[in-house]
Amino acid sequence: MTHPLDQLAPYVDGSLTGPERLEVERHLASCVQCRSEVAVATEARAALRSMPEVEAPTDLGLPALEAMGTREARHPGPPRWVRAMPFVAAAAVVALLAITLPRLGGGTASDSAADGALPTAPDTRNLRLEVVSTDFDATSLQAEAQASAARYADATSDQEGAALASPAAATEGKTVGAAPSAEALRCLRTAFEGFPGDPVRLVEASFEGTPAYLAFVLEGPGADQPADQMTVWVAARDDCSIVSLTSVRL
Amino acid sequence: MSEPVPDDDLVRLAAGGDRDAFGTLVERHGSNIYRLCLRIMGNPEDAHDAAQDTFLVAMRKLDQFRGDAAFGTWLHRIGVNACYDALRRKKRRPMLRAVDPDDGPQTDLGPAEDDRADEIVGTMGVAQALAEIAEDYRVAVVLADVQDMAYDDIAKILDVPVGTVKSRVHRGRIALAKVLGLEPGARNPRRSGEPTGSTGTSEGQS
Repeated sequence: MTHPLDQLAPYVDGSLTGPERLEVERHLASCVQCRSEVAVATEARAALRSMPEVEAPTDLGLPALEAMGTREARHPGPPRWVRAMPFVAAAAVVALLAITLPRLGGGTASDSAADGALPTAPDTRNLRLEVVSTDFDATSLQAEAQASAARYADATSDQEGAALASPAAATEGKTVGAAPSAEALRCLRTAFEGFPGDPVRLVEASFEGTPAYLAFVLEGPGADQPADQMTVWVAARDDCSIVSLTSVRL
Repeated sequence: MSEPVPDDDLVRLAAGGDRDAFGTLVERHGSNIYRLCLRIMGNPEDAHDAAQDTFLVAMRKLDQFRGDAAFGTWLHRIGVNACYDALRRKKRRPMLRAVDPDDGPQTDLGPAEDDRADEIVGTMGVAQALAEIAEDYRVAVVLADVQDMAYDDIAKILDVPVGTVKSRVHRGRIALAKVLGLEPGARNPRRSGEPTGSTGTSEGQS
Protein backbone atom coordinates (compact mmCIF):
# COMPACT_ATOMS: atom_id res chain seq x y z
CA MET A 1 0.00 0.00 0.00
CA THR A 2 1.32 3.47 -0.88
CA HIS A 3 0.80 5.99 1.88
CA PRO A 4 0.09 9.60 0.80
CA LEU A 5 2.68 11.01 3.19
CA ASP A 6 3.00 14.33 1.39
CA GLN A 7 -0.73 14.87 1.68
CA LEU A 8 -1.19 14.13 5.36
CA ALA A 9 0.10 17.50 6.63
CA PRO A 10 -2.22 19.57 4.40
CA TYR A 11 -5.04 17.13 5.19
CA VAL A 12 -4.57 17.73 8.92
CA ASP A 13 -4.56 21.51 8.64
CA GLY A 14 -7.45 21.62 6.20
CA SER A 15 -5.54 23.08 3.27
CA LEU A 16 -6.14 19.97 1.16
CA THR A 17 -9.35 20.29 -0.82
CA GLY A 18 -11.32 18.70 -3.64
CA PRO A 19 -10.38 15.39 -5.21
CA GLU A 20 -7.06 15.20 -3.33
CA ARG A 21 -8.85 15.36 0.01
CA LEU A 22 -11.28 12.67 -1.07
CA GLU A 23 -8.39 10.49 -2.17
CA VAL A 24 -6.71 10.83 1.24
CA GLU A 25 -9.99 10.06 3.00
CA ARG A 26 -10.41 6.92 0.91
CA HIS A 27 -6.90 5.86 1.90
CA LEU A 28 -7.51 6.62 5.59
CA ALA A 29 -10.62 4.44 5.52
CA SER A 30 -8.44 1.43 4.85
CA CYS A 31 -5.12 2.35 6.55
CA VAL A 32 -4.90 2.12 10.33
CA GLN A 33 -1.35 3.47 10.42
CA CYS A 34 -2.14 6.68 8.53
CA ARG A 35 -5.35 7.14 10.50
CA SER A 36 -3.38 6.95 13.70
CA GLU A 37 -0.77 9.39 12.41
CA VAL A 38 -3.45 11.86 11.33
CA ALA A 39 -5.07 11.72 14.76
CA VAL A 40 -1.75 12.30 16.50
CA ALA A 41 -0.67 15.03 14.10
CA THR A 42 -4.01 16.79 14.62
CA GLU A 43 -3.40 16.81 18.37
CA ALA A 44 0.13 18.08 17.95
CA ARG A 45 -1.06 20.85 15.67
CA ALA A 46 -3.72 21.84 18.19
CA ALA A 47 -1.07 21.92 20.92
CA LEU A 48 1.18 24.14 18.81
CA ARG A 49 -1.66 26.51 18.01
CA SER A 50 -2.61 26.76 21.66
CA MET A 51 0.77 28.13 22.66
CA PRO A 52 0.33 31.50 24.35
CA GLU A 53 1.15 34.67 22.48
CA VAL A 54 4.40 36.19 23.66
CA GLU A 55 5.28 39.80 24.14
CA ALA A 56 8.25 40.81 22.04
CA PRO A 57 10.99 43.03 23.49
CA THR A 58 10.84 46.57 22.17
CA ASP A 59 14.48 46.84 21.17
CA LEU A 60 14.61 44.23 18.41
CA GLY A 61 15.54 46.81 15.79
CA LEU A 62 17.99 48.71 17.97
CA PRO A 63 21.31 47.35 16.61
CA ALA A 64 20.06 47.78 13.06
CA LEU A 65 18.85 51.31 13.69
CA GLU A 66 22.11 52.19 15.41
CA ALA A 67 24.02 50.83 12.44
CA MET A 68 21.80 52.85 10.13
CA GLY A 69 22.49 55.94 12.18
CA THR A 70 26.19 55.46 11.73
CA ARG A 71 25.81 54.91 8.03
CA GLU A 72 24.40 58.40 7.51
CA ALA A 73 21.09 58.44 5.70
CA ARG A 74 21.63 57.99 2.00
CA HIS A 75 18.23 59.09 0.85
CA PRO A 76 16.33 61.54 3.05
CA GLY A 77 17.35 65.03 3.99
CA PRO A 78 19.38 67.36 1.84
CA PRO A 79 20.75 66.14 -1.48
CA ARG A 80 23.97 64.19 -1.36
CA TRP A 81 26.09 66.97 -2.74
CA VAL A 82 24.92 69.32 0.01
CA ARG A 83 25.63 66.79 2.74
CA ALA A 84 28.97 66.04 1.13
CA MET A 85 30.14 69.65 1.17
CA PRO A 86 32.15 69.44 4.40
CA PHE A 87 33.87 66.32 3.11
CA VAL A 88 34.47 67.89 -0.27
CA ALA A 89 35.93 70.95 1.40
CA ALA A 90 38.11 68.79 3.64
CA ALA A 91 39.21 66.74 0.67
CA ALA A 92 40.12 69.89 -1.21
CA VAL A 93 42.19 71.15 1.70
CA VAL A 94 43.95 67.83 2.07
CA ALA A 95 44.56 67.64 -1.65
CA LEU A 96 46.02 71.15 -1.60
CA LEU A 97 48.28 70.20 1.28
CA ALA A 98 49.28 67.05 -0.52
CA ILE A 99 50.38 69.09 -3.48
CA THR A 100 52.08 71.91 -1.58
CA LEU A 101 53.65 70.22 1.46
CA PRO A 102 56.02 67.97 -0.45
CA ARG A 103 57.27 71.01 -2.26
CA LEU A 104 57.82 72.84 0.99
CA GLY A 105 59.39 69.86 2.65
CA GLY A 106 61.44 68.69 -0.28
CA GLY A 107 59.46 65.53 -0.96
CA THR A 108 57.96 64.50 -4.25
CA ALA A 109 54.38 65.14 -5.15
CA SER A 110 53.94 61.61 -6.38
CA ASP A 111 54.65 60.25 -2.87
CA SER A 112 51.39 61.45 -1.53
CA ALA A 113 49.19 62.68 -4.31
CA ALA A 114 47.41 59.36 -4.59
CA ASP A 115 46.49 59.40 -0.94
CA GLY A 116 45.94 63.11 -0.71
CA ALA A 117 42.17 63.15 -0.79
CA LEU A 118 40.20 61.26 1.85
CA PRO A 119 40.07 57.78 0.39
CA THR A 120 36.78 56.06 -0.30
CA ALA A 121 38.24 52.65 -1.11
CA PRO A 122 41.58 51.92 0.50
CA ASP A 123 44.20 49.96 -1.29
CA THR A 124 43.99 46.36 -0.08
CA ARG A 125 46.47 44.79 -2.45
CA ASN A 126 49.03 44.43 0.30
CA LEU A 127 46.56 43.64 3.05
CA ARG A 128 47.97 41.17 5.55
CA LEU A 129 46.03 38.98 7.94
CA GLU A 130 46.73 39.93 11.55
CA VAL A 131 46.74 36.95 13.88
CA VAL A 132 45.89 37.85 17.47
CA SER A 133 44.82 35.79 20.46
CA THR A 134 42.06 38.15 21.57
CA ASP A 135 38.65 36.64 22.26
CA PHE A 136 36.26 39.45 21.40
CA ASP A 137 32.73 39.94 22.60
CA ALA A 138 30.17 42.52 21.50
CA THR A 139 31.59 45.19 23.79
CA SER A 140 35.25 44.66 23.04
CA LEU A 141 34.52 44.37 19.31
CA GLN A 142 32.78 47.74 19.41
CA ALA A 143 35.81 49.15 21.25
CA GLU A 144 38.18 47.65 18.68
CA ALA A 145 36.09 49.14 15.88
CA GLN A 146 36.29 52.52 17.60
CA ALA A 147 40.05 52.18 17.99
CA SER A 148 40.46 51.22 14.33
CA ALA A 149 38.23 54.08 13.28
CA ALA A 150 40.36 56.45 15.34
CA ARG A 151 43.54 55.02 13.83
CA TYR A 152 42.02 55.42 10.42
CA ALA A 153 41.19 59.04 11.11
CA ASP A 154 44.75 59.65 12.39
CA ALA A 155 46.29 57.82 9.48
CA THR A 156 44.22 59.82 7.04
CA SER A 157 45.10 63.12 8.60
CA ASP A 158 48.73 62.04 8.55
CA GLN A 159 48.50 61.11 4.88
CA GLU A 160 49.09 57.47 5.76
CA GLY A 161 45.76 55.95 4.95
CA ALA A 162 47.23 52.90 3.30
CA ALA A 163 49.30 52.13 6.37
CA LEU A 164 46.27 51.40 8.52
CA ALA A 165 46.26 47.74 7.74
CA SER A 166 48.60 46.62 10.45
CA PRO A 167 49.03 49.06 13.33
CA ALA A 168 47.66 46.62 15.90
CA ALA A 169 49.71 43.77 14.56
CA ALA A 170 52.90 45.60 15.46
CA THR A 171 51.98 45.44 19.11
CA GLU A 172 49.47 42.62 19.50
CA GLY A 173 50.35 39.82 17.16
CA LYS A 174 51.89 38.78 13.88
CA THR A 175 50.89 39.25 10.30
CA VAL A 176 50.78 36.53 7.71
CA GLY A 177 50.80 36.64 3.97
CA ALA A 178 48.46 37.03 1.06
CA ALA A 179 47.15 33.45 0.89
CA PRO A 180 45.66 33.46 4.41
CA SER A 181 44.21 36.89 3.62
CA ALA A 182 42.54 35.49 0.53
CA GLU A 183 41.13 32.60 2.56
CA ALA A 184 39.79 35.01 5.18
CA LEU A 185 38.15 37.14 2.50
CA ARG A 186 36.63 34.08 0.85
CA CYS A 187 35.21 32.97 4.19
CA LEU A 188 33.75 36.41 4.91
CA ARG A 189 32.15 36.54 1.46
CA THR A 190 30.64 33.11 2.09
CA ALA A 191 29.18 34.25 5.42
CA PHE A 192 27.87 37.61 4.25
CA GLU A 193 26.18 37.96 0.89
CA GLY A 194 26.59 41.69 1.07
CA PHE A 195 30.23 41.70 2.19
CA PRO A 196 31.84 44.64 0.39
CA GLY A 197 35.22 42.94 0.13
CA ASP A 198 37.57 45.89 0.61
CA PRO A 199 38.63 45.83 4.25
CA VAL A 200 41.30 48.12 5.60
CA ARG A 201 42.16 45.58 8.24
CA LEU A 202 41.81 41.82 8.39
CA VAL A 203 42.19 39.97 11.68
CA GLU A 204 42.22 36.34 12.76
CA ALA A 205 41.00 36.11 16.34
CA SER A 206 37.99 34.65 18.09
CA PHE A 207 34.57 35.95 19.06
CA GLU A 208 32.94 34.59 22.20
CA GLY A 209 35.06 31.48 21.87
CA THR A 210 34.44 30.95 18.18
CA PRO A 211 37.54 31.15 15.97
CA ALA A 212 36.73 33.95 13.58
CA TYR A 213 37.88 36.26 10.82
CA LEU A 214 37.25 39.96 11.39
CA ALA A 215 37.17 42.41 8.51
CA PHE A 216 37.26 46.14 9.23
CA VAL A 217 35.58 47.85 6.33
CA LEU A 218 35.15 51.53 5.65
CA GLU A 219 31.72 52.38 4.36
CA GLY A 220 30.23 55.56 3.09
CA PRO A 221 27.06 56.87 1.57
CA GLY A 222 28.23 55.95 -1.93
CA ALA A 223 28.59 58.11 -5.03
CA ASP A 224 32.32 58.48 -4.44
CA GLN A 225 31.73 60.22 -1.14
CA PRO A 226 34.18 59.66 1.68
CA ALA A 227 33.76 56.80 4.11
CA ASP A 228 31.97 57.80 7.28
CA GLN A 229 31.78 54.58 9.25
CA MET A 230 33.82 51.53 10.12
CA THR A 231 31.97 48.23 10.04
CA VAL A 232 33.42 45.04 11.45
CA TRP A 233 32.21 41.84 9.78
CA VAL A 234 32.84 38.68 11.77
CA ALA A 235 32.64 35.18 10.28
CA ALA A 236 33.36 31.79 11.86
CA ARG A 237 36.60 30.31 10.57
CA ASP A 238 35.49 26.70 10.52
CA ASP A 239 32.20 26.95 8.62
CA CYS A 240 32.21 30.56 7.41
CA SER A 241 28.88 31.38 9.06
CA ILE A 242 27.81 34.78 10.33
CA VAL A 243 29.05 35.48 13.85
CA SER A 244 28.62 39.19 14.37
CA LEU A 245 28.49 42.59 12.75
CA THR A 246 29.04 46.00 14.30
CA SER A 247 29.55 49.55 13.07
CA VAL A 248 31.00 52.75 14.47
CA ARG A 249 31.07 56.22 13.04
CA LEU A 250 34.38 57.69 11.98
CA MET B 1 -7.29 58.24 8.75
CA SER B 2 -4.59 57.52 6.16
CA GLU B 3 -3.84 54.08 4.77
CA PRO B 4 -0.75 52.40 6.22
CA VAL B 5 2.29 52.64 3.98
CA PRO B 6 2.84 49.28 2.23
CA ASP B 7 5.88 47.28 3.28
CA ASP B 8 7.44 47.53 -0.18
CA ASP B 9 7.41 51.33 0.00
CA LEU B 10 8.88 51.28 3.50
CA VAL B 11 11.62 48.94 2.29
CA ARG B 12 12.53 51.36 -0.50
CA LEU B 13 12.66 54.26 1.94
CA ALA B 14 14.65 52.26 4.48
CA ALA B 15 17.09 51.11 1.81
CA GLY B 16 17.70 54.78 1.14
CA GLY B 17 18.60 55.32 4.79
CA ASP B 18 15.23 56.34 6.23
CA ARG B 19 15.42 55.14 9.84
CA ASP B 20 11.77 55.91 10.54
CA ALA B 21 10.72 53.65 7.68
CA PHE B 22 12.92 50.86 8.99
CA GLY B 23 11.58 51.46 12.50
CA THR B 24 8.05 51.03 11.18
CA LEU B 25 9.01 47.74 9.54
CA VAL B 26 10.50 46.52 12.83
CA GLU B 27 7.38 47.59 14.68
CA ARG B 28 5.19 45.83 12.15
CA HIS B 29 7.12 42.55 12.00
CA GLY B 30 8.97 42.47 15.34
CA SER B 31 6.43 40.35 17.22
CA ASN B 32 6.20 37.85 14.40
CA ILE B 33 9.96 37.46 14.07
CA TYR B 34 10.45 37.26 17.83
CA ARG B 35 7.81 34.51 18.08
CA LEU B 36 9.55 32.63 15.28
CA CYS B 37 12.94 32.91 17.00
CA LEU B 38 11.55 32.06 20.44
CA ARG B 39 9.89 28.87 19.25
CA ILE B 40 12.97 27.75 17.32
CA MET B 41 15.60 28.77 19.87
CA GLY B 42 13.59 27.71 22.93
CA ASN B 43 14.51 30.53 25.31
CA PRO B 44 13.96 34.31 25.41
CA GLU B 45 17.63 35.29 25.58
CA ASP B 46 18.66 33.44 22.42
CA ALA B 47 15.42 34.47 20.70
CA HIS B 48 16.15 38.11 21.46
CA ASP B 49 19.65 37.85 19.99
CA ALA B 50 18.44 35.98 16.92
CA ALA B 51 15.65 38.49 16.30
CA GLN B 52 18.07 41.40 16.60
CA ASP B 53 20.44 39.63 14.19
CA THR B 54 17.53 39.15 11.83
CA PHE B 55 16.79 42.85 11.61
CA LEU B 56 20.48 43.73 11.44
CA VAL B 57 21.03 41.39 8.50
CA ALA B 58 17.77 42.54 6.90
CA MET B 59 18.90 46.15 7.14
CA ARG B 60 22.17 45.26 5.43
CA LYS B 61 20.35 43.42 2.67
CA LEU B 62 17.43 45.77 2.09
CA ASP B 63 18.69 46.68 -1.35
CA GLN B 64 18.63 42.99 -2.26
CA PHE B 65 14.91 42.67 -1.53
CA ARG B 66 13.33 42.13 -4.93
CA GLY B 67 9.69 41.95 -3.89
CA ASP B 68 9.32 38.44 -5.38
CA ALA B 69 7.85 37.38 -2.05
CA ALA B 70 6.17 39.41 0.67
CA PHE B 71 8.59 41.30 2.91
CA GLY B 72 7.42 39.22 5.87
CA THR B 73 8.34 36.02 4.04
CA TRP B 74 11.74 37.43 3.09
CA LEU B 75 12.27 38.45 6.72
CA HIS B 76 11.31 34.96 7.90
CA ARG B 77 13.97 33.49 5.65
CA ILE B 78 16.59 35.71 7.24
CA GLY B 79 15.16 34.88 10.68
CA VAL B 80 15.32 31.14 10.11
CA ASN B 81 18.91 31.43 8.90
CA ALA B 82 19.80 33.55 11.95
CA CYS B 83 18.35 30.83 14.17
CA TYR B 84 20.21 28.05 12.35
CA ASP B 85 23.45 30.04 12.73
CA ALA B 86 22.77 30.59 16.43
CA LEU B 87 21.98 26.91 16.97
CA ARG B 88 25.23 25.96 15.22
CA ARG B 89 27.18 28.32 17.44
CA LYS B 90 25.56 26.86 20.55
CA LYS B 91 26.50 23.35 19.51
CA ARG B 92 30.08 24.41 18.98
CA ARG B 93 30.56 25.57 22.55
CA PRO B 94 28.26 23.62 24.85
CA MET B 95 30.85 23.38 27.61
CA LEU B 96 31.43 27.12 27.69
CA ARG B 97 27.73 27.68 28.10
CA ALA B 98 27.45 24.99 30.75
CA VAL B 99 29.98 26.57 33.09
CA ASP B 100 28.79 30.15 32.66
CA PRO B 101 27.33 31.20 36.04
CA ASP B 102 25.15 33.80 34.30
CA ASP B 103 23.45 31.17 32.24
CA GLY B 104 19.71 30.91 32.43
CA PRO B 105 17.56 27.84 32.44
CA GLN B 106 18.55 24.32 31.45
CA THR B 107 17.40 24.89 27.90
CA ASP B 108 20.59 26.84 27.36
CA LEU B 109 22.74 23.83 28.05
CA GLY B 110 22.21 22.19 24.69
CA PRO B 111 20.48 18.90 24.03
CA ALA B 112 19.30 16.94 27.03
CA GLU B 113 20.43 13.40 27.62
CA ASP B 114 18.22 10.73 26.12
CA ASP B 115 17.46 9.26 29.52
CA ARG B 116 15.69 12.45 30.54
CA ALA B 117 13.03 11.86 27.91
CA ASP B 118 11.01 9.41 29.96
CA GLU B 119 10.81 11.83 32.86
CA ILE B 120 9.59 14.76 30.88
CA VAL B 121 7.08 13.09 28.61
CA GLY B 122 3.59 14.02 29.65
CA THR B 123 4.70 16.79 31.97
CA MET B 124 6.52 19.19 29.73
CA GLY B 125 5.03 22.16 27.96
CA VAL B 126 4.75 22.41 24.22
CA ALA B 127 7.59 24.92 24.06
CA GLN B 128 9.93 22.56 25.86
CA ALA B 129 8.79 19.66 23.72
CA LEU B 130 9.54 21.66 20.57
CA ALA B 131 13.12 22.09 21.73
CA GLU B 132 13.41 18.31 21.91
CA ILE B 133 12.65 17.52 18.27
CA ALA B 134 15.08 17.67 15.34
CA GLU B 135 15.84 21.20 14.15
CA ASP B 136 14.52 20.74 10.61
CA TYR B 137 11.25 19.37 11.93
CA ARG B 138 11.01 22.09 14.56
CA VAL B 139 11.52 24.85 12.02
CA ALA B 140 8.93 23.33 9.69
CA VAL B 141 6.19 22.97 12.31
CA VAL B 142 6.90 26.39 13.77
CA LEU B 143 6.53 27.99 10.34
CA ALA B 144 3.37 26.00 9.54
CA ASP B 145 1.54 25.81 12.85
CA VAL B 146 2.86 28.70 14.92
CA GLN B 147 3.55 31.27 12.21
CA ASP B 148 0.66 29.98 10.10
CA MET B 149 2.56 30.23 6.83
CA ALA B 150 1.52 28.58 3.58
CA TYR B 151 3.54 25.60 2.33
CA ASP B 152 4.64 27.51 -0.77
CA ASP B 153 6.05 30.30 1.37
CA ILE B 154 7.77 27.85 3.71
CA ALA B 155 9.37 26.22 0.67
CA LYS B 156 10.75 29.63 -0.35
CA ILE B 157 11.98 30.34 3.17
CA LEU B 158 13.73 27.00 3.50
CA ASP B 159 14.72 26.72 -0.16
CA VAL B 160 13.42 23.16 -0.42
CA PRO B 161 10.63 21.62 -2.55
CA VAL B 162 7.06 21.98 -1.30
CA GLY B 163 6.78 18.19 -0.95
CA THR B 164 9.74 18.21 1.42
CA VAL B 165 8.06 20.91 3.50
CA LYS B 166 4.84 18.91 3.79
CA SER B 167 6.78 15.82 4.75
CA ARG B 168 8.79 17.69 7.40
CA VAL B 169 5.66 19.28 8.85
CA HIS B 170 3.93 15.92 9.12
CA ARG B 171 6.96 14.18 10.60
CA GLY B 172 7.54 17.13 12.91
CA ARG B 173 4.02 16.93 14.27
CA ILE B 174 4.40 13.20 14.86
CA ALA B 175 7.78 13.72 16.57
CA LEU B 176 6.31 16.45 18.77
CA ALA B 177 3.34 14.27 19.66
CA LYS B 178 5.71 11.50 20.70
CA VAL B 179 7.68 13.81 22.98
CA LEU B 180 4.45 15.14 24.46
CA GLY B 181 3.22 11.61 25.00
CA LEU B 182 0.18 12.26 22.81
CA GLU B 183 0.70 9.24 20.61
CA PRO B 184 -1.50 6.34 21.66
CA GLY B 185 0.81 3.64 22.92
CA ALA B 186 3.90 5.74 22.26
CA ARG B 187 6.94 3.53 22.63
CA ASN B 188 9.52 5.14 24.92
CA PRO B 189 9.87 8.22 22.72
CA ARG B 190 13.33 9.42 21.93
CA ARG B 191 14.40 12.90 22.77
CA SER B 192 15.03 14.33 19.36
CA GLY B 193 12.35 12.75 17.18
CA GLU B 194 15.01 12.21 14.56
CA PRO B 195 13.85 11.28 11.08
CA THR B 196 13.23 7.58 10.67
CA GLY B 197 12.87 5.79 7.37
CA SER B 198 11.74 7.19 4.06
CA THR B 199 9.07 9.81 3.92
CA GLY B 200 8.38 9.27 0.26
CA THR B 201 9.97 12.63 -0.43
CA SER B 202 13.56 13.51 -1.07
CA GLU B 203 14.53 14.79 2.31
CA GLY B 204 17.89 16.53 2.47
CA GLN B 205 19.27 17.92 5.64
CA SER B 206 19.72 21.62 5.36
